[in-house]
Amino acid sequence: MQRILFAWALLCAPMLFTQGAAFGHEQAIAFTELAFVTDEQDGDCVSDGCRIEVAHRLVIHDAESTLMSVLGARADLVGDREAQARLESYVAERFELLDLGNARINLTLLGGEVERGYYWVYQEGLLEPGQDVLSISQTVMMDVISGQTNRVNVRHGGTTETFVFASDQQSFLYRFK
Amino acid sequence: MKQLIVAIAAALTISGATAQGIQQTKGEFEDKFRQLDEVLPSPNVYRNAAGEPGHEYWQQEADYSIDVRLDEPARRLIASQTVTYKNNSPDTLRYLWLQLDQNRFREDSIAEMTRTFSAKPAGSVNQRDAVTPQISLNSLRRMQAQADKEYGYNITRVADGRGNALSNTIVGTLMRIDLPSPLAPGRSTTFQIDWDYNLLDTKAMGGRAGYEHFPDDAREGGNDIFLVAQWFPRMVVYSDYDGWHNKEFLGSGEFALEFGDYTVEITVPDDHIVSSSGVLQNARSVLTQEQRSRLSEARTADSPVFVVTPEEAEANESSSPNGTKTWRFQADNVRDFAWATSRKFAWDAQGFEQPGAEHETVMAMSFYPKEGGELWQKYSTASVIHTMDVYNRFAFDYPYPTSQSVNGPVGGMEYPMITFNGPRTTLQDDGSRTYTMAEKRFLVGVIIHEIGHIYFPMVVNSDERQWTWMDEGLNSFLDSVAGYEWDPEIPWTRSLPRDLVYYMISDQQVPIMTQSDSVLQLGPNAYGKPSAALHVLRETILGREKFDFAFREYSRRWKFKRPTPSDFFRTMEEASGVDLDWFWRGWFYTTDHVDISLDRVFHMEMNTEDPDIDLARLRADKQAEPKPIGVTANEAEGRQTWVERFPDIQDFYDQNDIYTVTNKERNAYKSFLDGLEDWERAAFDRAVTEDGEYYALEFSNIGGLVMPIILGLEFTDGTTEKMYLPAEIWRRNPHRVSKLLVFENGKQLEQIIVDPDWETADADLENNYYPRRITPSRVEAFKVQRPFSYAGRDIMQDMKTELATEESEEEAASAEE
Repeated sequence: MQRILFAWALLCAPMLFTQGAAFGHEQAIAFTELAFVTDEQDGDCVSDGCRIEVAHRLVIHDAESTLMSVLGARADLVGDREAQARLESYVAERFELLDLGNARINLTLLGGEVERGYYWVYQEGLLEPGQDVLSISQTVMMDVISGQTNRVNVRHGGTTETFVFASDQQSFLYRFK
Repeated sequence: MKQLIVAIAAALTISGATAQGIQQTKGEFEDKFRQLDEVLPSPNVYRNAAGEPGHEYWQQEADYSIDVRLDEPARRLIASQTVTYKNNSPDTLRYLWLQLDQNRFREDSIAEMTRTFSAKPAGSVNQRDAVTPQISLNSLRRMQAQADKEYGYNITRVADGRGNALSNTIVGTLMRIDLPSPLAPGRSTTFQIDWDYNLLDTKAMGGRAGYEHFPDDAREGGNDIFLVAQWFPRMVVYSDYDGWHNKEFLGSGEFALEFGDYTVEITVPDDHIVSSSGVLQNARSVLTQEQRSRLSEARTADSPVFVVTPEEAEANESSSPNGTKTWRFQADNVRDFAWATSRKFAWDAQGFEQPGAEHETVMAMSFYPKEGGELWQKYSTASVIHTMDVYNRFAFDYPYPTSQSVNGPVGGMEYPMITFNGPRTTLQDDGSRTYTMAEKRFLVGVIIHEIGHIYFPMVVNSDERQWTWMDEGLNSFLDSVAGYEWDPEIPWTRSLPRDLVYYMISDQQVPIMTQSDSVLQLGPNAYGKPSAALHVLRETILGREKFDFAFREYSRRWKFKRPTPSDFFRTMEEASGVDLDWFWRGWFYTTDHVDISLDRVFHMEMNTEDPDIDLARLRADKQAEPKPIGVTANEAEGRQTWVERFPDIQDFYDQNDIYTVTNKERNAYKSFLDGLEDWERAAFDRAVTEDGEYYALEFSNIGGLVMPIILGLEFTDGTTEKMYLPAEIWRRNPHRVSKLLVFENGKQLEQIIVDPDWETADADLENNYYPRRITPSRVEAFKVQRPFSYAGRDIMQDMKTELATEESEEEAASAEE
């Protein structure tokens, strides 16, 4: 038997247990739309490269809990610009696209906004030609909310492919068709 | 659903594939309007074809008498309970099943043994990389809590009414008791169980109940709030459609329970305040004269009255008990029983009047520690009352004497007459307590939701473990209605049609009609999507009058009874008078989404058959066409045509084009008119005189879900109109349809928008516009205009910020130097 050492995650935040209970509003779920956009309608990301647009939709209350727990920031996401900025950086950190060479694809953090009960965080980037497989990881709030699942809709060329991330499945490979 | 002739054997559980009907190999026709008769279970004497309880409907009854003692230092419950079980079924029972939910937390339970672990560090996404296992401190704490104490029931005695031991077998979270003699229909049996178990540290172990420790309280050793639920062995449901519902409790699917009467004696330290299902029977023994008089005053008060003030509660925090007190509660016709206790509780109360109801005054009450603060003082009891006010309109008068909201370590959970709600204030450095707007919204929202659950499923007793959507979906729909009636400016809900688009377009989902334990992502599936569907049904398809009548009828029929999905579907159709099979099929049995595209619009003029009019129009149309590009280029070059260079070559045809009218056409027109019957001529003359504007609209259904087509019409004269085309427009071809619209002469369309008010969860807005409008993506739109909302600043805290003056700036500058 191979003997391996655990790496202790530096997460001493109080844990919010949401799985299973009839919680009215803490649904422990985040949505992300990851769109690969070509300039021309029939453009091809693999041969021509393309723009990457990312929009994350978080439930405000879950996101405030995350701020308080993980970042230690006062959780006032609706109006406090500093709290918003900290959340945006946190989200950007926990969403990753890697190419096959294991290099992280640079995504520019554009910012975020409140829309009714949601907080949206936006990123954009460029995909160089020649990438036909990407690794996607979306672990936002998994370190705080038990049972957190994150759904990522990958949209490219008129199709939508959904990946569901959970604590035991934190990354997926996406292949351009 | 009118012809319930087809009997499908064992059709209680059906798959999505079956729901599609029989697949065809020819053509592309899909019967989206196929009636559900063959999918729903056959009606019978227990559940009839109208969706009502049948003439021989029955359900079991379980009455409980429980003495329970809290050992506060050990955080342990010790109890003795007597159960009287009445067999109202037509079957003879040789054994009984009980639910032992606490056994879920045993180390060897299925729930614990199947907890999964992620060996992937959060930062490493490349699956080919070697991974370093990583474990969070949260997981560590849970493992340590699991190791430190033994959880699950210690059952010390199971005996019949005479005290004779009963044979029993524990199967995970279930226990079978073998009866000494079979229990015949209509007969009752009584048995006793003694048990004890260790309460969970909810913050470490999770779950819907347990204790929360407050180590910083003034009292030595701190204090606890105890929330006690799923705490006693409860009867498993025995039903007409599923026999014994003996399904292992895995933690996700909630409960199926029988109604009964409860007498519960709760012994706690004598400085505790207890909140519980039911009505307190011995106030004289456990409350002071002052507290009783405040409680009495609260019954008729216009605002909450403190029975225990926050100051008194905070003083209690440092007290030590001199002994115990026993609080006795009675709860009748409830399907469960829960309670909470702590010396930290402040307690406020206010009577809610519902004239003519079984309980004309309901005591709305809240129990919370100082951590709840002003947030709870202002909003908890008010939210409880608001919920009853709204839900009474949609369902029935609140059927119990108390309605309570308790703060503790559980985010939100419901039981008969009592709910647990988590939001709190934040302690600031200056010692004050503030809360954000989101926290306020969350508190009001979660209380509405949990109190709403007292109607669904605590009274309309659907089986939560089998069909989560039946209580969560219906309740999420109603809580959003109640939210808007509290304050429409507050963005309460995430279960409107527009919120579900991201879920409904994804290729990873299961139909709503999937059993709870198999549902991936219960949130959007069981809360959001059914709620969105009911909003669509109420506001768009049926209209409020028909929907509200049918929904109230469903609530009335199944109050204190156990409905199944088919009972809901059938009742809503029967009572509204509208065939909704296509709607249930699309929204509840498939994963189709809504995306209706307006592909083309043709503007047409009617031919008058009069050659002098029609041919002139044709000539004008021709002249409006652009010249061939080569001709334009020749003109630009100054190149003269042959006929220009040699005008003499022109003849008759250069003066008369092909649209020239001759008497031949005029005679033909006269013959046409003469040949018409009188009624034909009248219709023709009127149409020619009116000379309407004809528009042919071509739609395609990209998402697959058939829905009404809602059109926002904008005319060139600046007027607008909304038009509703019922979903049945898709009945012959669910993929493509055309529609002819006719307007009076001169009323010309400028723009058409499909679903202009975002009522239907239409996924692609761009194809809703004709002419097409460029719709920027969210990211593009954000880059253009970065909005900032001032709506929810913690102004209570920010107000304390001192104004920077020149002096203070100078001081700051000199300090830096």
